This record gives sequence, C-alpha cells and structure tokens, in this order.
Amino acid sequence: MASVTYDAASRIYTPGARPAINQLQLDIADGEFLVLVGPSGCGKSTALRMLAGLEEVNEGRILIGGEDVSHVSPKDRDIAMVFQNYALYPHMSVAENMGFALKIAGVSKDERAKRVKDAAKLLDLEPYLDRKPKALSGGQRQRVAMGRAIVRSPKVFLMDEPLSNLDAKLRVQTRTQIAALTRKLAVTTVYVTHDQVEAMTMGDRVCVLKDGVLQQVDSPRNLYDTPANVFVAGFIGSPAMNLFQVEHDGEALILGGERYVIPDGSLKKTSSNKVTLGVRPEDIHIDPEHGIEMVVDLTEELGADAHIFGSPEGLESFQPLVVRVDGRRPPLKGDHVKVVPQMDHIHLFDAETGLRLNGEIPENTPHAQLADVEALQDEEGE
Amino acid sequence: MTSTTPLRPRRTASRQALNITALAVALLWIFPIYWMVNVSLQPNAQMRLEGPTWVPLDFTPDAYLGVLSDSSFWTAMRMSMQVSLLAVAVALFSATLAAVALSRFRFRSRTAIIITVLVVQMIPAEALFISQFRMLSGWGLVNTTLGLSLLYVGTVMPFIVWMLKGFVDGVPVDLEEAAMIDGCTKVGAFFRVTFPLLGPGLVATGVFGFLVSWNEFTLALVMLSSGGRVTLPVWLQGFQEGMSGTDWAGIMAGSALIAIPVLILFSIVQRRMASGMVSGAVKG
Amino acid sequence: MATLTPTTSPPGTVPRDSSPGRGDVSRRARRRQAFLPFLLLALPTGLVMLALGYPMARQLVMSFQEFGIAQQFGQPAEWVGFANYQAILTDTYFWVVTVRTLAFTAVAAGLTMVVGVGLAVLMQRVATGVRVALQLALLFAWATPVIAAVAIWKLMADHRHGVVNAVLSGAGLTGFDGFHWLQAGTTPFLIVAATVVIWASTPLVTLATYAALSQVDESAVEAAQIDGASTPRILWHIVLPIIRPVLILMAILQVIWDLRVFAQIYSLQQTAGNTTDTNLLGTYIYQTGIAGGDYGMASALAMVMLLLLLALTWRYVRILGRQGDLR
Ligand SMILES: Nc1ncnc2c1ncn2[C@@H]1O[C@H](COP(=O)(O)OP(=O)(O)OP(=O)(O)O)[C@@H](O)[C@H]1O
Ligand SMILES: [Mg+2]
Repeated sequence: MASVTYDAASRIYTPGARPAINQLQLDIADGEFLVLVGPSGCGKSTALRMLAGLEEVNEGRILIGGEDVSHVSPKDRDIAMVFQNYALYPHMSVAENMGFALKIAGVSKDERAKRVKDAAKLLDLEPYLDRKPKALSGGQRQRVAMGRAIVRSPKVFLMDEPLSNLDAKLRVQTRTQIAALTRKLAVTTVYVTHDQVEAMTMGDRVCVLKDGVLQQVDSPRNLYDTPANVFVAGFIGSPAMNLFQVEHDGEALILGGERYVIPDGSLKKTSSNKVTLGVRPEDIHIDPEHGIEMVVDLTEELGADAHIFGSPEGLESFQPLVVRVDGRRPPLKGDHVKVVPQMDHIHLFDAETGLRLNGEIPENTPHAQLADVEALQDEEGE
Repeated sequence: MTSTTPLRPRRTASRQALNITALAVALLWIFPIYWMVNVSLQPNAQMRLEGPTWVPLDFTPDAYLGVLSDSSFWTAMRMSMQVSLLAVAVALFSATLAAVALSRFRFRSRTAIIITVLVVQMIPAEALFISQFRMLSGWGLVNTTLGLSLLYVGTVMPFIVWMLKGFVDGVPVDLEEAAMIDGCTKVGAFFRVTFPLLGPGLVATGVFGFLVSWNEFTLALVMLSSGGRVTLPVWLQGFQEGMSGTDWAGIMAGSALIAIPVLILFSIVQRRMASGMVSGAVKG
Repeated sequence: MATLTPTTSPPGTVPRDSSPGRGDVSRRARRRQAFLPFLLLALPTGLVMLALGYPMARQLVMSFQEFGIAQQFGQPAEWVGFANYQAILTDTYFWVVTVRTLAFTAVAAGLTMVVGVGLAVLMQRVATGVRVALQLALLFAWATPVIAAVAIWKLMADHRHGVVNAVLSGAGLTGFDGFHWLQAGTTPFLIVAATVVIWASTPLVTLATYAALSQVDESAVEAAQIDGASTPRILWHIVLPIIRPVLILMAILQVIWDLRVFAQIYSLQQTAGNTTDTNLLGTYIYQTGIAGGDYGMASALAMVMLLLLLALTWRYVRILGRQGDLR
C-alpha cells in the first residue's frame, strides 16, 4: 500500500511532437481509488503504462510510496495491472495464471495454492481453477484478470478499461464489485475508463485528461458542480451541459433581451464582451410567464423524467438546448415554451481561454498548471 | 485452415462442375508421385519390353531392397541428416533472436533491415557458389558437414526470420507486459510466456528449414564435388548418371526413399508453414 | 502501436531521490534500450554475413580480376577492370542465354502464379473432401525433393518408356511416338523443365493464397454483396487488395526461383547431353566457373544475374518492406 505521485511527468513519443502526457502533476493518496477519464486518445493508457513502467518517463518523475520509480523496471515496482483484453496467459490454467506472479516471486507452492484459492473464493472462480482461459466466458476471464491482480497484494492496482469488453448489464454489476473489492482491500487503485458514468460512480476522485494535459482532478461531486473549464463542463454529465456564447456588460448577462445581474463580479474577470454560459439540463425550468422562447423539436421520454430539445431564440449555440422536465406531462414536439436558467446554478467560462469565472475556482487545474508549464518551458529555454 | 467460403456459388450444378475440375487437378498433380511408386514396384524388364504399365501387377520390392542394401545410400543419408540438423539448429536459434528484435522493438533501421532480409532472400545460391566454394576451400571446409551447414544457414536464415517474425507478431505484446508486471524480466517474460506460445510456429519453421536443407542440390553438388561423402540429392543424381542409368525402378525407389520422410514431415506442419509465410507478409 | 519499453536498470542502481544522477540513469537506460535489438540481431546477421555477405564481396572483387586455372594454383590474380563484363556483354551467346532465361522465367513464373491463384480460388468453392484431396496432392508435389522430381519427370517424358508419349500417341498424336523431348532442341527441353518447375512451385502459391483468402474478413465480402457487386468485382475490388501482399511476395519468389533455376536444368542436361542449346544463366555460370575454371568470368556473370534479379523485383520488395512498418 502506497501513495502515488506523478511529478511533472511527461511521455514524448516523437521528439518535437505534442507529448502524449504533458507535465502531469498528480498526487494519489494511499488507498485512494482514482479514475483517469477523457476522450479517446487523450493519453489515459499512456499515463497508466508510465506508472506500470511499460512506458518510459521522458521528463519529470513518478513516485510510488515516496520512492522515485521513474527508471525502475515493472517487475520491481510491486504493482498489479488488469489489461483491457485481460492478457491472460493462454497456455496456463486459471490457477497458474493467478499464481504466476507469486511463482516468480519464489512463494512456496502451498502458500501459493492457498492464496490463489482465497482469491478464487472471493471472485467466485473456484470451479474454474483448472480451466484454460480459452474455455471461459468474457466475464469469467475478467474475474481471472482481477484475481491475478489481487493474489499479489501489490502496492498499487492499475486497471485499463477492464470492463469495456463486457455487456452492459455485467458491466454495471462488475463495476460495483470492483469498487467494493478495492475498498475492502484498501489498495491504491488507478482506474482508466472513457465511460464517465464509471468514472463518477467508482472514483474517490476523478482526473480528467485531454490531449495529454490534466484538466481537473476532484471528487465526482465537485467535478459536476464546479467544472474548471469548458472542456470538463461539456465532458462530465449526461446529457451534456448546455453551453452558449452570451453577451454581457460587465455586470449582467444579456439573454433574450433581458439582463441577468451576476452579483459576484465574475464578469469583471474577463476582457471579452462575451462569456460562455453553461447550464445543466436540470438547472433550467419551464416558466409560464417569462423567459427565453423555445419551440420543442424533440421530446425524449425516460419515465421518471423527460428531456426536451429545442433551439431557443437569440442564443448562439451549436447544440440544441436540452432541458430536463417532469416525466409525467412533458411538453411535446411543436409546443412553445419559455425556459429560465436557475441563476444560482449557472457556470460562467471565459469565452477565449475556456477557464471558469464564477464560484469557487477548483485547485489543481490548468489555471495553475498552464502557468507551471510556461514557467518550466522558460526555464528550459535558458 | 477453417475455410470461410463466402463466395459459395448457389447452383449445385456449377458447384458440381467445380468439384470435378478440382478433383481432376488433384489427380493431375498427384500423378507423378503415383508414377514414381508405380514404377519403383515393377521389374525393369517389364517396362523395357512392354512400355509403361499403369498398375504394378508384377509387384516386386527388389528395387527398394537394392537401394537399402547399398552402403552409399546410407552414407548419404547420414550426411544429409547431419548437415540438415546442424543447419536448422543454428539457423532456428539465431533467427529467433532476429525475429524478436524485428517484431518487438521499433528502432531506426528496422525497415531497412526488413528490406535487407527480403533482398538477402533473393540472393540465389546459383549466383554465389563460385566464391562460396573458394571461401570454403580456403578454410579447408570443402567436403565437410560444417562447411555445407554454414552455407545452408545463410540460405535458410532470411526465410526463417521472416516466418518466425510472423509468429512472434501473432503473440500479443500485452502478455509479455503482463508477465513483466508479474515480476519477470524482459528476457524472462519472453521465455516464460512468448516462447511456449511460439512452440508450434518454431516447429513448423524448423521443419521448413530442415526440408530446404534436405532437398538442396546445387550447393551440395558444388561443395562436395571431389568424391567423398555426399548428401542424398547428389547421391540420387549420381545414381542416375552411373551405370544404373536405365535402372528406372531403382531410381524411382531411391527417389521415393528420399521423398517419403519429407512428405510425412511436411503433411504434419504444412498448415502452420503456409500461414506463417502469409502472416509474415500480411502483417509485415 | 505500443511497444515494450525496457527500463532495465536494476533496483539497486536507482537513485532514491531526484538527485543529479537521475538524467544519467535515464540516458543509460535509453541507450541500452536502443542497443538491445542490435545485440539480438548480431548473431543472425553475423552468420548471414559469413555465409553470403563475405562471398558476395569476394565475388565482386573477383569479377574485376582475371581469375582462371593459373590463379587457382597460386598465381596472383590480375586486375582487369571491366574486361570481364565487357567480354560478357559483347558475347552473343550471353545474350542468347539471357533472353532464353528471361523467356523461361516469364512463362514459368507467370503460369505458376495464374494456375496457383486460380487453384486457390477454386479451392475456396469446392466441397471439403475435394479440397482436402487437392491440398494433399499439392502438398506432396511441393515436398518432393527437386532431384527426385526431375528424375520422375525424366522417366515420364522418356522417349521410349515414358508415359507422356504413350498417352499422346495413344490419343492419336502419333508424331510423339518415340519423341525425344530432351534432345529435340531448346523448346521441348525447356517445356519439360518448365513443367517440372511449375508442378513443384504452384503448390506454395496455391496454399499461401488460400491461407490469405481465408483470412479475408467475411463481413467485407458480405457488405459488398449487399452493395450489389458481382462476384468478379468483389474478387477484384475487395479480396485482391487484401491478399495483395501475399501475391506480391509469391510473385517475387517465383521470379527469383525461376530466373536462377539450376538443379532442374543441370539434371536434365546430364541426360540430354547438349548444353549449348539448353543452358540458362544458372548452368552457364556453373559451366564457366566450376567446370571451366574461369572464376573471374563466372563471378562477373553471377553479378550480372544478381543485377537482373534486383532490377526485376526491386519495386515490389520495397512495397513489401514498407508494408512491414505500417503495422
Ligand atoms: N507507441 C506510440 N508511438 C507514438 N504515439 C503513440 C504511441 N502510443 C500511443 N501514442 C499516442 O499517444 C496518445 C495517447 O494514447 P493512449 O493510448 O494513451 O490513449 P487513450 O487515452 O488510452 O485512448 P483510448 O481511450 O482510445 O484507449 C495518442 O494520441 C496516441 O496516438
Ligand atoms: Mg487506452
């Protein structure tokens, strides 16, 4: 058990090109479950593989339990990893697969058998111990991969999209099991996924990456409530947050001809005469009296509630506006409605930099990060 | 090979015609081998007097007994065995190293080396045997197992590297990575995980190299020229040229005795051999 | 695609801290990583250099020398510049042999490819039993040692006892009764030689192409069928591009093997007697060098043959080589 630290760690595949991981600065506490999330190709796997020792750390360092392991080979890092396609050894039985690491470590045969058995019991794998991976279902293989990781009681678990090969139902079920299991074992876990539901439900904290740059790392709640920039705002949440370009006069937003005063002065922080306004679908309500006029283009009924889509008048947006409404009597296609954002739940972002303007600005975000990078680059230049 | 027959014609009549064509081709292709066996089991006089007989009615194993009691056949057999085994052992071991380097690492001159492998594959023995002969004679290795084996190693290496690379590519890198995380060194991961999975491919490749050496004629003819021990193909050629030039049954029996072990080995591993070459080409 | 990145410093040597030594370790590890593949390549490369590279260099040198019988008995070889090449290129017999070799290669390699690929496509569409029979027949032909194959065909084409003449004259072509294929001139001789070559080399083409065909993704073919493409068009536009690397490899190999063909011609010549009318480049080099003792000239001839091979196949070798990096 150990903490993990990425200390300005970078991975540069091709010198001169954009780094796959750019100055990643991240502290993961002992026993914490941290989820790495981001769109495809953002460098999640790379970050994980750097920690595993499968990718070189070109700049900066990686520490496990306070020790610099940047140039330690994977076998000496005391980590376990669950691969996306499980990477089970096809020529070994389930028991041999799970006991392989212990065998390499020179653990005695009896001890090995005992620990494999315990892990198998934990994962309901006992009936399959003598089978080859080929003779297992996808879900069973996934559990063997998990088993291979937990028999070792390593310092850190690494998991790279371990659920992406399972069907939807099994995924939900296994998601809960993994979260419960790792908390029970209290082992530090770094978990990669591109599925934001997985990220939000499993992580103690979630780290959002984009193009190899850390965007925000925070608890799921904070990530949802105070996204640090437009990217995180749009990425987290489903349906996605509504984002518009809105004019302002320094004190108030001008929306559909009406002025909405922002009292905390956040509009003074930007030099542009526009800001990006973000409102989550559930933070907009339909008002009979006044608000922004909208014709409903589509209604998605989900049972408990419904999502209505439409293009409001006088608002610049590339996406249709989404509003979450009561599922019992939703407006239907073609209805005219007036919608009002709940002003205490809006998000304001700088129209140019995309950074958050209002509310509590989260720490450990590109605000700090970008400045760091620049400083470092200056240093190198000298 | 599991056949995926996506373009299966629908009408059974045309299907039948295809079946018959294929059978006819199969018969045409197997016929020379049938003929070899047929003639080897007939008395020579029979053919000389009456021309070819389609079935060996006057069955006699004399020709085989003649060859098997010939000590020069056994000498050649031993020579062929030694040369082929030595060449394959050395070539297989070193080709494995090369295949791993080309399959598991990305380095600057990799493409150049892959092209070189292909080009070296092209260099025909027939274009080099003059100076290869001079080289061996300079080292006193003409007429020796070692000398001929060395040349065979050079001949089969590129092809073996090519095939093995295909097989190594076929083993997911993930497995080696998992083994490294499980505590193996890089070399350990290769030997504990990739190597066992490579087994069938190694066997197929090894058999291929063995057969190429076993069947090789040109280099053996040149390097084992001045009397002394020869390999089986050279022995068979000499057998034809010698007094037994019209002993057709004997020649066919000799051919059959050389070919049969090869046919058996071949049938066992051909599937993997063909797919090894293919995956080498398809996957690069 | 990700590759293994060996960070192989043993744990003891790793600085515990961000000390100044850190960069050193990193650089050393990186250097070792860059070095390892070359270490692995050393033995195989060394062996090939020894068996092929070194003789090749010597041959190149020898092709610029007067290197005959006298030199074999110790006289120093004399530099003659391009004299050997000049002699070759101005010799009409060389051109006769070269053109003959090229014609032989074109016919033999061409037919091998056409028949081989045709059989592979055929094989995909026949009943399993028939396919296995055909595979087995091809396999046997492939595995038969060259010299044994030549002996068999020699017997089958024998003018008196041969089954070929018996069948032909039986079919009414009485002109073939007692026809001596191997002594009746260049063309009949080469027809026999080409038959042996094609018989023995078609199986590899068929089996490899068949293996490649069965790797073609069925859904791509089905998609094309749904798009309304006819079978020939599917073969041409969908299947062919996918198996192209295999076809290129096979074609290169056929050209190489047929251009340098030696054993078959040599063995047939021993029966035919006449070599002048039947020589291809391979046997011509052998006669000039090993039999005639003129190593200098033979080396130059061999170099010319090598250049010819390279000229014919270089483009396709490059295509294949580049393919290797697209993975
Ligand atoms: N070996 C490599 N050489 C060069 N670039 C690479 C290499 N491996 C990955 N990359 C690049 O690094 C970036 C990050 O890749 P990575 O595999 O970490 O993405 P990811 O976030 O895991 O994506 P996904 O969700 O699709 O798995 C990508 O742009 C990828 O193209
Ligand atoms: Mg990934």
